[in-house]
This record gives sequence, C-alpha cells and structure tokens, in this order.
Amino acid sequence: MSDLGQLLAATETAVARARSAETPTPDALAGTLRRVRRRRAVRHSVQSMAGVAVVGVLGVTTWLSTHLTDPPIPATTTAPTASPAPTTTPRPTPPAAAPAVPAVHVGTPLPLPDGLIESSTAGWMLVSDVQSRTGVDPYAATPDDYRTLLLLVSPTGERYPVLEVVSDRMSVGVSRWTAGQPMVLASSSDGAAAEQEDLFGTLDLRTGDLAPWTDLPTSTLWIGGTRDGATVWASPQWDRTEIPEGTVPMPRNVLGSQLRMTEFTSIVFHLLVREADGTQRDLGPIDDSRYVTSLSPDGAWVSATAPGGELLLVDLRSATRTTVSTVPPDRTCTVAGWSGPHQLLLSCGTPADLLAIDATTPSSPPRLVGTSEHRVVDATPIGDGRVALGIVTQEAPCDGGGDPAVLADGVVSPLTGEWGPYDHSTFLRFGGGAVVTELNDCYVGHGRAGRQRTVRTDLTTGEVTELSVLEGEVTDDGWDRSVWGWLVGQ
Amino acid sequence: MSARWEGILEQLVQERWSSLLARATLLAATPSEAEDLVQDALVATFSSRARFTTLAQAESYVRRAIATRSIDRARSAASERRATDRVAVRPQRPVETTLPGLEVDVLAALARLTPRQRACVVLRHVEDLSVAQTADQLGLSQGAVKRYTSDAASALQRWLGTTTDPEVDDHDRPTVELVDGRSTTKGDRS
Repeated sequence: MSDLGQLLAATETAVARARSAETPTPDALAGTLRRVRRRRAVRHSVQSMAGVAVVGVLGVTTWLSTHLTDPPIPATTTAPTASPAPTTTPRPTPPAAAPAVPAVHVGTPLPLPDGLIESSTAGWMLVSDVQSRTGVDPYAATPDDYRTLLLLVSPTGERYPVLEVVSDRMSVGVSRWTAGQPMVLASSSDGAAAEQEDLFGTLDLRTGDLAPWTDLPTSTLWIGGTRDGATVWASPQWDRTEIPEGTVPMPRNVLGSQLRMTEFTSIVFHLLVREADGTQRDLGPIDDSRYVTSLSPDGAWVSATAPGGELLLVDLRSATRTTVSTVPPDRTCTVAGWSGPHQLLLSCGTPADLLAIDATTPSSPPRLVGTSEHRVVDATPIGDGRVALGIVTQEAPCDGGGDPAVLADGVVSPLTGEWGPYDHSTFLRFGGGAVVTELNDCYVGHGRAGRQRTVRTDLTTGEVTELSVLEGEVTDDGWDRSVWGWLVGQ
Repeated sequence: MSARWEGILEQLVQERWSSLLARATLLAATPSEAEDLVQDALVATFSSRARFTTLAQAESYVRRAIATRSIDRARSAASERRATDRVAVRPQRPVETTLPGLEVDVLAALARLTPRQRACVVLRHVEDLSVAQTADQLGLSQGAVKRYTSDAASALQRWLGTTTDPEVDDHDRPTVELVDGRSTTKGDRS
C-alpha cells in the first residue's frame, strides 16, 4: 500500500472507530428492507417472466393464496428397462364455464412508428422498465413516484416505449411473445394489494388491455408454451400458513437461472397442461429437489425430478411419466437444457461431460456429445446444428448464471471473445441469432468485475452490442431506471 | 421467519455498519451522502442476483457497490441535494464524525475531489487494485483511471502539504510523503 494509501486507510479506520457504536435507526433499517423486498418482488414478477417460449421459465399468477386441494395423482413408472410405460391417463378438465371476465386495462398505449410491432422480428425484445422519479426519497415515495414502461427494443438497441403501465398496477411481466405479433402472454400485479397478486392473461400491446385467464389455478407458475398454443404450468400444492414470511414458494429448479437466485420454500407442484381451447390436464406431481423442470423445444416433453429424486421425463401428449435410470449414478449430473427437439442434455461433473438423452428412447444409454471445463446450463438448440448454452464460470454466490457459449462438434466455444476480462453473465436468453445477457449483476468479491450492463452478442460473429446499463441511468425526462426485465422475441 | 437474505443484511448492518460507513465516507462528499451511499449499496446488493452464503461475501459485495454507486450517483446533478433531503426526513440525522486533526483534513481534502477522483484514488491506493481492475469496477477507461488517480493524488498532496516523487513516471501510482515525517518516499523532493 502506498503512503497515500496508508493515510487514507488510517482515516478510514479512524472514521470506523469514531462511529463504531452506531447502527442505523430501526426505521432506517426497516426502510432498507422494504426497498429490497420491493425490488426483489418486482424483479421476480418482471424478469422471471422473461423466458424464451420453449424453455422453462416462470410466470406467477397469484401467490400466497389459499390452500389448494390435491387432484388425483397419476402413477409414476420407474423404467429400469427404460421403456416408457403408459400410466394413468388424466381426465381432461373441460374449459371452465366461468362467466366472461372483462379485460383489465393495465397500460396506456404510447405513440409508436406505424407498423413497428408488426415489423419486429426474432431478436427484438420486450422490456419491462421499472423506474423511479429522480430525486425522490424512497422512504417517502408514493405510487406516483414509480412508473413502469413496456418497451420494444431493437437488436441494435433502439428503444420504443409501447405502454405505460397504469399507476395502480405494480408491473407487467411478459412470458411469451412471438416477434411481429401484438398479443403477448403476460401478467400484471395489483400495486395496491397487500400481497402480490398477479393476473395472468393475454395482453394486447395496441390497447394495453389484458384478457385474464381465470381458469388457471391460483399461484400457477409458467413453464413454457408449445407451437399449437398449449401452455405448460406448475401448480403448487400448499397451505399458505406453512409459507415462511418473506420467502417465495416455488420449485427450486422450475425457473432455471431465475430461481437459482431466489429464496424459496420447497413445495410439491403438479404439472398442468392448458390446451389452446382452455382444456386442462393434470399430469401429476413434480419434485423440485434436483433436476430442472423445463419444456423440450418440440413442446412434447418436460423434464423434472420424480418424487423419488430420479430424473423424470413426462410425455405431454400421452401423459406418460418415465423415470430415467440411465443417468450415471457415480456422477453429479444436472439438467443442462436441451440439445435437440427432444434430446435432454445433462451436465455431469466438473469438468463436465455433456450427455444427451433422447426422450423418445430414455432406456438407451446417454450419448456423450461434448465436454466442458465448466458446468453447463440453459442449453437450447439454435437450428443450425449448434447448441447455445451457458457455462458456469463463476463461483458462489455468482454461480446462478453462465457465460454464453456454443456446442458444435463436441466442442464448447465461449462467445465472450469481445467481452472484457472481468465480464460475466448473470442471466442469458437466446433468440434471433444472438444471446442477450446481463453482465456483472453479481460480484464474487475478488476485486475484479466488469461494469453492469446488458449486451447482445451475435452467436456467429461474437459481435457485441450494448443495450443498456441495468441501473442508475437517468432518462431525459427525469426518471431513474431501476429494475427491469426482458424477453427475447422468437 | 424471515428470508435468508434478510438475516444476512441485518447481520451486516449490525456488525459492519461502521466499517461500511467509513468506506463510504472516503467516497462521499458529505456525511449525509455517505450514509445514503451505504443504504443505496445495501439495496443494490441485496436486490442483485448474488447468492450470499457468508457475511464476508456480502460485505465484499457491498463495498464494491459503494464504490460503483458513488460514481453512478454523480451522474445526477441532484444527487447531493437528494442525499441531503433524503437523510433529512429520517428520524435521526447522521452523526458528524469527530476525528483527530489529520483525518479531518484528509476528509476535507477528499470532499474537494470529484466523485470519480475519490473512487479512483481509494480503489487504487486503499484497495490496491490495479488500473485495469479499477477501470473495470468503475466502468471507466484505464486512461481515465490513471488521469483521475493522478489528479486526485496530486491534489491531495498539495492540499495536505505532502510532496511527491518527480521521478515517478507511473503517474497513476504516485508516492507521497507526509509533512509530519511519518512516511518517506524515494528520490529527491522538490
């Protein structure tokens, strides 16, 4: 340490000593806790919705709700011989004959260039930007001091505000959007409610009206959607009185990287399929203890953890549940995502062997498709024979997300060549030939970390486009960007 | 029962508040801004994606957040007024620090620097981070870090009556000598 450093350090020590008896007032600490809780709630409801259409992320309709009764549970078949055994065929529940529910106006449309929504293509993003008025005292803020904008952001970073969320709604989260379409699967929470209660349904970007889906059980979590319009959900079975205050009741792995940073309470969930016509099917319990719950790219399979802890594959068409016995028992294997339309990718050990299991023939031995120096997460095929994925290069507490890479011909190649030496991803999503990542929103504490920002990295060229800083930016009209989430259009 | 992060946050505040406040005091222009900076850093830290398992991890994270947010806050011209106003509405105003003469002078000198100069000189000279590490942490170019650090060190030496080594060509790490003779530097003095 230099002499100047010694002088500064001595001053720092003197200040610490002089104020050693101080702690914040209870009110100040309570205020800090409230601010963090609000941000975590907003991030949870906004960003956790932001998944690609075919990879499991979450949506929350209502949470902390009342006790739900257990529906019939289909039998689970262990398949040591690995031939999928048809099990109880769940009886479809016809569409609820609930009275028509009027649309809820959740956002005010903002002027847009003609045809902008319709001309957006894969790789455009829908962004929820939660802002607070510059200079406002957060301890005395009112709802008018916060606003949420829903924006379209082009692959080159141009922003187009689409909706301003009305003031009595806390946020709008988007979970599924096909670029070029004005209709979005979305949720919105009531900002005035004592407990967060999200309303799930179809949001029209042109009007700001959300048509609620009232037939879904309360507190249902979004897993993914299929091309034929069906949606897949995890329905929690809980008694709210058992939920510790301040925790988020949801499965550990349903949300992939989202949930890896979230406090949770372990809960039994049921896998639920809602067809395009509203018909629902309960495909039985799923556990959250080990294997990520995610929907295959072809929309036909869901991976999960069987109640006994084994890897579970559920055929959504036949409701067949198969436990996979071919996972190497002597390795620590996690679900890394999907390497093909129905090829589940496992990441086993560190360095990791990447093993592919064909969901249609789960009894076949897993096939080694590559190796990686680091554990792999969030794998998804990108249509050109390559598999995009995240490699977990950071240690705890920053091991919730991975740096982007591609798997081709058995080789994992990082896409971080144009990143800074201390840049690391904390959240990533693929779409439109690129990967969008949040950088450096977690710091391992080594004194080395890049600047927080969100970037788009081309999956072929590695070219980097900076989209925005995450926090701290002040808009021209006097608002601080705070927490925001995004969804890459497919 | 509270969530795990709440327990760590409360423990951090109870056990490390004065230490965090001291770091913020070096980086802020006023005591009120320093306390505000710590509060903001706590909020940013525990709202982030980090998963803390130890108090040390959380403290390290908060320390970095204090430095980066001292820069971010400077983007708004109203930040100082905001800090003052915000603290003013709290039940208890921050306590003015009572220190020996030299430390008071150091804080007064630091307060005359810009936020970026303060952050650079603290990270370089107290944290012993390299130019590259400081640049990455603060989101500045390495050239800017060198310039801010050099300017800050020169100013501190001038205001505090210290001297520097004219032979040092690595101007991002100037060596200083205190006039009270507690420290020495290499080379001739001018």
